[in-house]
Amino acid sequence: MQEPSVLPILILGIYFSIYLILSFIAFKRGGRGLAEYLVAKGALGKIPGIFTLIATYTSVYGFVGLTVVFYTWGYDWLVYDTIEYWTVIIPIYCLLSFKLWKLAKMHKYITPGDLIAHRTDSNIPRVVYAISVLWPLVFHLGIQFIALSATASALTGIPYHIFLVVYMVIATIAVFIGGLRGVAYADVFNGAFFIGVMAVLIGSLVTRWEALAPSVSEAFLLPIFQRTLPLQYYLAVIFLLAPPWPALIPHIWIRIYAIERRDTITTSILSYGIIWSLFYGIIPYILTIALAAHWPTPPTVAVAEEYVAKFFSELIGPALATVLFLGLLGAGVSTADSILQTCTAMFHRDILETIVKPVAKWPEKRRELLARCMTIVIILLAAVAAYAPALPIVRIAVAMIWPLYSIAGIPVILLLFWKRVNKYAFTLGVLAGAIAQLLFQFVIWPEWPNNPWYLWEGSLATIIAILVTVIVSLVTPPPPKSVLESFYRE
Amino acid sequence: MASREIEDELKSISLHLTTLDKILIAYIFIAGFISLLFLEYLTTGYINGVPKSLINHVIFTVLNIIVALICYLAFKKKFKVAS
Repeated sequence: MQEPSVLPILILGIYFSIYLILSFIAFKRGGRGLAEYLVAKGALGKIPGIFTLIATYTSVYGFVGLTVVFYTWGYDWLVYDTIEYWTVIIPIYCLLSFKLWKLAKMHKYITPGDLIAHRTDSNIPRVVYAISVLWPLVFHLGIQFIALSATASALTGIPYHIFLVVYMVIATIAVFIGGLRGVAYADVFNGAFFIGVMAVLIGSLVTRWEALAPSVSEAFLLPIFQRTLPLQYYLAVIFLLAPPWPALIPHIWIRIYAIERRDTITTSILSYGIIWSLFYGIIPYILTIALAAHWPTPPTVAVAEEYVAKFFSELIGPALATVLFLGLLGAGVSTADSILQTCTAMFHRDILETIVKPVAKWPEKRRELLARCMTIVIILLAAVAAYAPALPIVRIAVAMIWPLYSIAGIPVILLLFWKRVNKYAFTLGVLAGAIAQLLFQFVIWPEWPNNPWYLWEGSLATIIAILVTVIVSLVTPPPPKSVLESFYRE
Repeated sequence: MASREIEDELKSISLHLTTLDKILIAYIFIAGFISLLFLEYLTTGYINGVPKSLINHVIFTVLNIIVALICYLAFKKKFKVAS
């Protein structure tokens, strides 16, 4: 580890200061009120709208994380992360995003739970959905800070725990002050900065490609370029893992509510296509070829995310590489603060105001202040995961997060398009799926992929969630006509 | 003025499955299985010295943009007609 120097601290200091200033600008521009704090009053313009949608979906992961996954785990995991976009994610985004946007505008929804409670005419499905998704999401937030802090520490020599505290405090202040609008403004800054830094890094790689070229053909012979996962694993990934990702992951769902105009969503379809091709298609592949040509055997590092930084450090020199990567690590907060903001909104609205009824009757200003304070509660819970990632409750939550998105998300698709789905069907579907996943993953088949057929690890529980939702819908009375009329405004 | 425009935009979106939605659903199933065919036949070995996995990856990457562009244009046209 190197000695800490003033330059990295200065760069991060400037970066975080801009971040906080943008939150303050958002606070001044957006005005007050719970809807403004949690969902920017559904009035987010085109530029912040598109940037926040994209930054929430992807950030440093596409550049550093996916490259490292490909380089260390192999081509299978690049396919795992890219096969869904042109097959499932783009069409489902088109299918759902406009409808979710319309429903939010018609009924003034703030959280995913608002839609679920309205459509089912009950708060029980709302609470079940919120708990199923929030519990892993909060701990996942903590894990995000671990990766950021470990990489920043390895790059600068500053102790890991200092970075952990700094990242968490900055994200908390930004979300506390600026709410969703502040996060969106910061995403514009992060996005522009991130694209600039990435262009410099990729440009430097292309100009020095000649040095790597002789080793490239040998790199392709490495085991990481061979595919080993069976087709049924990908089949399950495409049809069971991918469907909720375009619009029903809570931090993306809430952003769709926040968009002001329909055309922003239309434009985001094209923006997503380009960004996904760049971040998940072109860049990780080029970088992994370069890494494999440079180091056929991965060198020893403290955290895997260091590979990319270390590679550029050798390519363009340590000083410039450190400066550029600190910029990337600053931008890494963009996904973390989006998750923090979403958790805050859901915890306040779907748990606190729903379970502690008197809170919902408080004056607007008091509710808004309470919602802001929930940021601190969420970050303290996330800190549990960041400081003790080996705790069973954290490990189980993080391991179950992707299956739970499908278990809770696919019944929402049924809820939107099939009028027979009622509160019993949705609640029991999600509960049955979540319990089944817990049993499959930690009791019956604890070894990956948690089933004997080499399907994606959440497949069986997701199928159970769908079946239970369908069967219970068919054997119980349909929802009252008045509820459906109110929901669809027929 | 803006709220009137938003009202018009809301009217252009159906909460039920439209023909375009059904085409998208059919596409998901067809494209899902086609992508598996790509994986089965285009990931191991070489074609004229070019690794098949690279060809496969380039196809997936280009398809991302093409599919996004087609969807973008389809919805743009749909909303233009609706207004």
